[in-house]
Amino acid sequence: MKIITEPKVITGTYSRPLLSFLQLKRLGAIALSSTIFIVDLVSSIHVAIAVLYVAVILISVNIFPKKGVILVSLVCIGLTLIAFVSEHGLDIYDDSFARLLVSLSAIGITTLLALKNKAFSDELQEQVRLLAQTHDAIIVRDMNHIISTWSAGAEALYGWTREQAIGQDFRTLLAPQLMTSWDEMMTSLLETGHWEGEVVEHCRDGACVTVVSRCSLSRGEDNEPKAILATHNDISARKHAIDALKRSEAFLAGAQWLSRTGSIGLKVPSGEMYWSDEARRIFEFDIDEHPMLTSVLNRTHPDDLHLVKEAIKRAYQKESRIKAEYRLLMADGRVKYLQMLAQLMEDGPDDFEYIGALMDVTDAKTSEEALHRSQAELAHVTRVATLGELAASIAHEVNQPLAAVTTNGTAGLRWLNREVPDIGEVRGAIERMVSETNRASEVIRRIRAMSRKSQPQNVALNFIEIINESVALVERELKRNKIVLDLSYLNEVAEVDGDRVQLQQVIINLLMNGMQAMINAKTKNRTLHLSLKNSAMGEVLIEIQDNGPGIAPDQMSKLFEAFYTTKAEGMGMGLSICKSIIEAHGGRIWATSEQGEGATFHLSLPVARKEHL
Amino acid sequence: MSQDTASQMPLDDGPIVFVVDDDEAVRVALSSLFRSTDVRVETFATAAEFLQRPDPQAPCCLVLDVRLQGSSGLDFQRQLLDANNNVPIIFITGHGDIAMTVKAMKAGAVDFLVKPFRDQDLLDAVSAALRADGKRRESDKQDSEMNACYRTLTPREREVMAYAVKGLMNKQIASEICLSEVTVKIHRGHAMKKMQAKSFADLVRMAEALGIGVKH
Repeated sequence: MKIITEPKVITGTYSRPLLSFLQLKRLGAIALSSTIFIVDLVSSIHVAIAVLYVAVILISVNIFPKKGVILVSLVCIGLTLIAFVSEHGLDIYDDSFARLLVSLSAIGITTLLALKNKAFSDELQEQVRLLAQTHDAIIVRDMNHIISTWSAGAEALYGWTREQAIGQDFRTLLAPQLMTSWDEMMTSLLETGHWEGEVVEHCRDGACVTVVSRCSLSRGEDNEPKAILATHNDISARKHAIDALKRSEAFLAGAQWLSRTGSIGLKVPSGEMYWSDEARRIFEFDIDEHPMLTSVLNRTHPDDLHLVKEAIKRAYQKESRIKAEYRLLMADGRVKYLQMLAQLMEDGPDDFEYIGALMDVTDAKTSEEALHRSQAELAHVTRVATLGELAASIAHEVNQPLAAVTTNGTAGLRWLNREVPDIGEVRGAIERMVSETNRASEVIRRIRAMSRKSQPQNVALNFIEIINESVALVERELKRNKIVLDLSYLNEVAEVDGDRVQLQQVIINLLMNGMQAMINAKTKNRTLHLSLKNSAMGEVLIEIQDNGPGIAPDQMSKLFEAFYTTKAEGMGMGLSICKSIIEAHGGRIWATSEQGEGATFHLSLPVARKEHL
Repeated sequence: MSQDTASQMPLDDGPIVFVVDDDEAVRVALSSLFRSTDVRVETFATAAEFLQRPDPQAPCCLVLDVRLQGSSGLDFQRQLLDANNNVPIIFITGHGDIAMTVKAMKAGAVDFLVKPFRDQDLLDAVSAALRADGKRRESDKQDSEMNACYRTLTPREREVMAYAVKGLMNKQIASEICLSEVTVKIHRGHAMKKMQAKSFADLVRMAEALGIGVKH
């Protein structure tokens, strides 16, 4: 069995400049019919010459479409009738009339048969054309695997032309490697008549192609297997794409595992979810579990539940990008910190999907917290050390009101015990006792606040209050050392976000530093200027200036380093703690100095964000 | 001179306590304490204010905080001594150490009390100081009266008195200064009278107080 697979393109020949073969055929057909007509008209031979029109119809079948053929046959019938009438008139009782009928029936029957045949061959032609247009290779081989048909698709795929391939042994030409054995394939083919499988074959240029081979067995009339019809579909590209996809999936899974980042998809409004393996691992869902939004909420830390619910609400409001940071609480009590970012993908007017990445940042959070903790502890230690330096002044600060309380108490008793008790004086004494007790407890409250070891807070604060509180703690110490403190506030309010105690610690530290510098240098007319203003750049600026000896240029760069000190008993932590506190508050600290003219420490802190004021 | 209004006392004379402390609460409390025992009190925030107060011409004492704004109490004590101001001083302090106490006591402080002190301790110290100051003022006053009497004596009478308190007989004095015994007797009588001496022993005591008779 042989199938011709060359495309027979009937259209597309009009571009030729001179008469085409088709047109020549048509001219030939016209010439033939004209000749028959003339012979029929002129000759007096008593033969049905008109039967020869059959030849014209048979020719026209191949050169005209269906309608053309009908037209041709009508023309032939017309010509036959014209020739008959012009020769014999309307005498229907002549035997020539019988010949006419024979001619006409011959033309009619031929036309019908020709049209039927044409329809069949057109359909076949069309199928062949379609088959030829597929990229699939069509190969037919006999039971000895000798190739008998080799399609254009096969030529394109394997690089062998028809002439080269036909007659060759299929197995030697393409060296096919089957997933199963060759025998198995043949057994299956003989038993079921079909076989389908992946085969790796070799092309002419030596390259390998992977094809899906679909074979069917063709049997002869005696039911003996005659040939194997095979279509070979090249899946190399698809296979490469699948491999690449698998590889990139593996890459992604590896990257997700390494970076502890998982992917999730959420379809809205159905609430359907998709999870990457790493996302499941982070949430610790079972592989066979199909997590829904409720499973997410169940895993969420109760304190952060509102955050997640808010994010889901925003998703249903179709926000284009959703960001959330929250904690998970595992069944065994472990806490995980998550960062999530989801992006809206439109599916349709009502359906949309969020594709999100979620990252387990527990490790980063824990180390960040540990760093904060140790910073806070260090700040606390240095704070307590500073309070130690202030101990004498603080004792005096508490002792003064206590002395006043006892003296007022005894004086009150004496007024009461007089022969005529003076109630007015007693009342005055008791009132003073109350106010002095408050004064003492205020001092103690301040010290307590400074010595307390607590997690740094982040609240809105008025920096002026911070300065006033700090000054209250060191005022006595400054007086004792004959230092004049000059405060100038250019604004009434200076709001910053931060921790009250830590910021107080910075101010106390800077005031004490300035004081000690002036004491050590035995400066006369010791003065500390502290000024505060709000800058136009949205910062609170604080300057603390002394009139001590100033800072030597070579000390300037090391000023804020830990363990750097110029004092005999100094730890060298003060300024380094100040710097870490101020930087943790998003601010900066720096020093300027003219030697001999004193030093100035500058602080700049961002103004509080209004939202939590 | 600024004074706390509460320390104003109706009494115009009698002993007076001065308080110098830079802490107003302590000043007011001390003022109340002293007034409750009917002691006149005046309070001052600084040493400079106190120095502007004229001498009260009555027994007084100073209750002084060791730590004062601007200067130390010990420095102020030295300043007063240098200015020949003998007001007795009672130191009060928030935190006294031994060195400070010794220094203050050596410079003549009456007492050194550490806050918070017992009221009775302060009142005892104050009354002791006032008593001492009264005595001092009394003896100062007597000394000055005696001096005034002495200044009324003629040179001859002073000469006779000097010899007499040395124990010389009239006859011996007469020969010493080449006068008649009768004249010596008259001068001696005048000296006794002018010095308001009730007896010869009284005159001898006065001469001792005046430092007379040590010329030889």
